[in-house]
Amino acid sequence: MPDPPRITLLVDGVEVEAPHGAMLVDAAKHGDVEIPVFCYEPKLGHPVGACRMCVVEIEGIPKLQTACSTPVRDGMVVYTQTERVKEAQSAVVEFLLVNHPLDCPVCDKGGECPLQDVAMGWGPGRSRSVDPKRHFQKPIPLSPLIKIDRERCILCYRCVRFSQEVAEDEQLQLLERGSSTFVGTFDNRPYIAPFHGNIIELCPVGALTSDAYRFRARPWDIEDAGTVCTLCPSQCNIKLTVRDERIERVLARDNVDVDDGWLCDKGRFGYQMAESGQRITEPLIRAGGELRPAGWAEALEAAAAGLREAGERTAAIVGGSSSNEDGYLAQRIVRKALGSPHVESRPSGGPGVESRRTGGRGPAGFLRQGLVELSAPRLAASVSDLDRAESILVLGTDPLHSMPILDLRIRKAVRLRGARLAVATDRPSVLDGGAEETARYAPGFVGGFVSALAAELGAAGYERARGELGADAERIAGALKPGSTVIVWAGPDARGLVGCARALRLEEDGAGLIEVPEGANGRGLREVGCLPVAGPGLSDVEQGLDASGIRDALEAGSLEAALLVNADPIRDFAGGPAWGEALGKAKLVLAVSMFEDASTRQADVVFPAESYAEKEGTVTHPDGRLQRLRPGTPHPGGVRPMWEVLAELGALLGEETGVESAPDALAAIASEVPFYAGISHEEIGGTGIRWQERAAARYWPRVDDVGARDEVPGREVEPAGRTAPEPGDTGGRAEDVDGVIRVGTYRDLWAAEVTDRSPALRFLAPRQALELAPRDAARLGLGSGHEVEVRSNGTSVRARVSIHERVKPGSGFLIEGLGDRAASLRGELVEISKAGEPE
Amino acid sequence: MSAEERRRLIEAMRPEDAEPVPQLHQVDVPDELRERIEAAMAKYPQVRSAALPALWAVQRHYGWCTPEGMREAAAVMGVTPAYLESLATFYDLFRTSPVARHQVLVCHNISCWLRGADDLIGALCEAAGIDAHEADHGGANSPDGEVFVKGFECMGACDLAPMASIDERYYGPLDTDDARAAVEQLRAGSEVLPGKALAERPAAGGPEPDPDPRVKEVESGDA
Ligand code: SF4
Ligand code: SF4
Ligand code: FES
Ligand code: FES
Repeated sequence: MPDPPRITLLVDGVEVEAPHGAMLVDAAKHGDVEIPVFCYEPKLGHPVGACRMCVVEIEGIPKLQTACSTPVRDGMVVYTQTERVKEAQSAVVEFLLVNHPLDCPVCDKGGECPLQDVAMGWGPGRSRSVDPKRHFQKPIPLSPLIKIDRERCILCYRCVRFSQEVAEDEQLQLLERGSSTFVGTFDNRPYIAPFHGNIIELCPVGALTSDAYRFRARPWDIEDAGTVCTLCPSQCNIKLTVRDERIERVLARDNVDVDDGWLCDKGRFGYQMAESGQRITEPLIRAGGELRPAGWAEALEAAAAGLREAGERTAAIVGGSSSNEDGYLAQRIVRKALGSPHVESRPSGGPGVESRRTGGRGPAGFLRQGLVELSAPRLAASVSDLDRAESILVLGTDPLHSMPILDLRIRKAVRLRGARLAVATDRPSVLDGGAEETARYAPGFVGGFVSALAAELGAAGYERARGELGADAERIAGALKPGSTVIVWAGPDARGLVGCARALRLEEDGAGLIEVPEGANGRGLREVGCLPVAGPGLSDVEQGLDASGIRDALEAGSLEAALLVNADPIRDFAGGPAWGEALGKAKLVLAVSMFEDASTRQADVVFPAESYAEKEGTVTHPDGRLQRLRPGTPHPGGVRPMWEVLAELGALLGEETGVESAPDALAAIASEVPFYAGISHEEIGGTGIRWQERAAARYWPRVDDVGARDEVPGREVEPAGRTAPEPGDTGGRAEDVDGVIRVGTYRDLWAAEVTDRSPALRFLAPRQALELAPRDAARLGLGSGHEVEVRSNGTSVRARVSIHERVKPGSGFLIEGLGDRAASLRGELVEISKAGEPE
Repeated sequence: MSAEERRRLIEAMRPEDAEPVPQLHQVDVPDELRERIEAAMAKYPQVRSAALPALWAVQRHYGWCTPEGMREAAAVMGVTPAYLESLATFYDLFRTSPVARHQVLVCHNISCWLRGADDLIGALCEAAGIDAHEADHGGANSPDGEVFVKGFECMGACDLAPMASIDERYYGPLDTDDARAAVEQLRAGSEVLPGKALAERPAAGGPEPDPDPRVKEVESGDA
C-alpha cells in the first residue's frame, strides 16, 4: 500500500506534520503534544469516542472534539491547552473519579496506571463529591486467571470491545447499561476464552488484574526483558516482567509484523513453566536404573562415549521449541561427527513428505523439491500481507489451535476490511463463522482436496474432481482472488499447492503462502538442517529416516542411540507410547529436557534444558522472520546455554565448531545457510527481519537444481489406510460408507506440556474427546460425555464423546499430544464401542 | 466474599462453564419459540436485528427472559447468550428476573409525577403488599406472585397522566381508588378498570365522553 500523503496542521501554535487521515491524538504526538486518552486504543480497531477524555478545541468547529476519533486535515488548527479544554478534561476526570474507589495503595495497577497519570496531569486535584460511591463485591474472579474489581472500572469499553471485536468470543459484555452499568458475562459464568488475558493489559485501571500477578510486584521493583514466546509458531514478541531474577508476568511487546500486540493465554501465563520448581537443573546419568545427578563433565563424557559407540546408528529428534542454534548444532553433531543422516524435527510430517506408506523412505529429491517450491521467497507471504490480501484461504489447519495469533489476524482482515475468507479443513474451524465459503473433506484428505482445488483454479496437469469434492473445490476457488490471496496452510501432503500457487499468481505482492509448521520453530529448524532429507539451507544430503522410520529402526535395533533435543516424542509424536518401547530398546538415549517426562524416563543421560526465558539465540517465524531470543532471567542451578553444551559435545566427538558464543553459533548457521548469509544479532534487532527481504534471499535453492519431478502432478500419495483415489475421485469420502467413522486428529491449543507445567493453566488441560456429528452419535447410540473406545488395527484410544453440529457426518476427531495413541489413528476408519456412561 | 469462598469459586470454574455460542443440540428449544425467532430472523438481512424480537419471544414464552430461554434464543440465532443478556438488561421492558403474573408499570416521569404518580404507586403497592421504594427503583413482585409494580419512564401517554400500563394496556388518568380496584381485579382475574383504558377512548374508537363544560365556556366567549 502506498503511504498516505503527509499534511501539516497547527497544534498549540506549533506546525506538525502527520500522515493524512491519522487520528488527531496520534498526529499531535508528532509535535510532542500529549492528549490524554482512556478508551482510545488503535489495536482495538475503529475508535469509539466513549470516554471524552481527549477533547480538544479545533478552529472552525464550535464544540470540543474528541481527538481520538477526529482524523486530521491539512491546515487544521488545534488547541489542547485552552481554558475550555482544560475545564472539560478536568471535568471528565472528576466524573470518572466520582465512583472510583482510589484504592491505589492496594491496587496492582498503582504506578503503571493511566488513570493515576491522567488524574495527576489533567484532573482537578480534589473531589467535590460527597455522595456514596457505587459498591460492588470485589475483587471477584472473572475467570480462574483474572480478577475483576468493578468499583475500579471506568467503563471505557476496552475489554468488551476486545471480546467483541478482536477475539470475537463475545462473552464479555456491559450489562445493566445505564446508571448501573458493569462489565460481566452471561449468567455470571466464567469468561474463558483463549485470548482473554489481553484484557488485563488493555484495562487502563486496576479493574482487571492477573490472578497470578496480584500483589507480586510494583513497577519500581521490576525490570522488563524483551524476548520472543516460543510456545507456538506465532512467536509473539513479549516482555518478561522480572523481579529478583524471577519472571512474574508476561506482557505483549507490540510488533505489528508478528502479533499486532496480542498474546494468547498460553504465552501470557505459560511463563510459570520456566519458574516451575520441578525443573531439571543439573545433568543426570542413569546408574542402577535410576537417574542420579552428575557434573557436566561427567555427563558430557558419558553422552559422548555412548554416541561415539553408536556412531552412524544415531538419530536426533529436535523439538519445536529449540532455537536455530540448538537445531543446527545438533544436526551437525549427528551428521558430521557421527556420520548419521537421521535428523528429524517434524512430529508428523511436512510439505512434500512421503506418507507413512513408504515410511518416509521415498526419494529425497522429490521431498526437497516440494520444500523448495513451497517455501520459496517469491511465494512467501508475510503476516502483514493478511492485512492487505483481498481473499484468504485457510487450508488444513485451525489457526486458533496451531498458530493462535493468526486467528485474530484473519478475523481482523474480515472484520475491518471485508476480506473474503475461505476455509477448507477436515475438522470444523472456529473461523467458519466469518468465512464466505467453507469446505469439509474427509479426515486426512487434504492432499486430494488441494489437487481438486488446483484443477478448479485452472492449474495445468490437474483434473477436476467429480461429485461433492469437485463442487466444494469449485466454491472455494470462486472465493479466491488471483494475485491477492494469502493461503494459510498446514498438512503433510499438499503438493497440489504448487499448482494452486501458480494459478492464483501468489508470487505477486501481498499474496502468497504461510505454512504453519508443527513446532514453534519448525521453519527455522527445517532451514538449519533438521530434516532427514535436507541439510542446512535445504542442501542436498544423504537421506535419513523420518520420525516413524527412526522409531521403527530403534525398535528393530538398527539404530542404537537417540538424541532428543527439547523433544518428548512419547507425548508429541505420532505413535506416542510406541516411542516408549523404541527408546527402551536404544543403547543410549540422550535427552535435553526441562522436566522429567515420559521420554526422560527412557534416557541414560539427561541434560537440563533452558527455558525460552533464559535462552539466547534465534528462531525463524513461519513467514521467514528471524527473531532473537534474549535471556531475561539467569539459568537456574546448573543449567547452561544449549549452544555451549552442544558445541562442547561436538568437540568431544571430534567436531570442532569454533562456536564460543551465541553470535558465533548464528554466524556458523549463516555460513552454511546461504539465504541467511551475513545475518547477525544486530541486524535482527528487536523486531526481527524476514530473510526473504534481504539480498541473500537470492541464494534460495533453485527448483531445477533439486532433481526432477518423479510423480505426475495431481496424483497424491494417499493417507495410510486408504486406497489411492483416482484423480477426480470423490476421495473415498467417509460418509459414502455407512456405519464407519474416519478419524482425524488435531493438536488442541492446550494439549501441550506448558499447560500441565503452569499451575495457572492446568485447569485448561484437555481430556481426550471424540468429536462426532449429532447424526453419527445418534446412530451409534452415544451421547455427550459417554466414554468410548476408539479402535483400529490393534490401536485403541479412550475418549469422551463430544457432539459438534458442524462435524461432517462420517468424520470424527481426536486430540493429538495427550500421550496416547490418538495420532496413530489419523486417517483411519475406526470402530467405536461404549466404555462407560457419562459422568 | 472470603478468600476461601473465592478459592472455591475459582476451583469450580471449568472451561466448559464458559458460555460461547451454544449449539442447538445443547438446548431444548420449544418449537413455538424457535419458530418465532426464526420468523424474526427471516425479516432482516443482519441476524442481530432479530435480537429484540427474539428476546420478546423468550419473555412471552417464559414470562421473563430466563437464562435458559436466552441460551435457547442464542443457539437459534448463533450468537452468545451474553450478547442477548446485554440487551435484555438494557431495555426496561425486558425482565431478567422472575416476574409476577400481572405487570403494572406506573409512569413516574414529569407529567405523571406532577399529577400524582407517587401517590398512585404508593396506593398500588399498599394494595399489593409491595415496598413502594423498591417498586419505584427497579420493580417488585407482590408476595402472592400476582402483581408486579414498577416505576417507569414516560410512556408517551402524558395526556392520560397519571397513567400506568397494566399487562401491556394503557390506563389513565388514575387515582388511588383506581389503584386499589386494579389490584383487586388483577387478583380476581376480572376485567381491569373498565372505562379507564386508552383503548376505550374516543380517539381509539371508544364512546364519546360527555362534553367538557369548560369548552362551552370558551366557545361562548365567557372566559
Ligand atoms: S474493566 Fe477496565 S477495560 Fe473494562 S471497561 Fe472497565 S476500565 Fe475499561
Ligand atoms: S500465540 Fe503462541 S507465540 Fe503467541 S503468546 Fe501464544 S503461545 Fe506464545
Ligand atoms: S480517548 Fe477519545 S473519547 Fe476516549
Ligand atoms: S410523563 Fe407519564 S406518560 Fe409521559
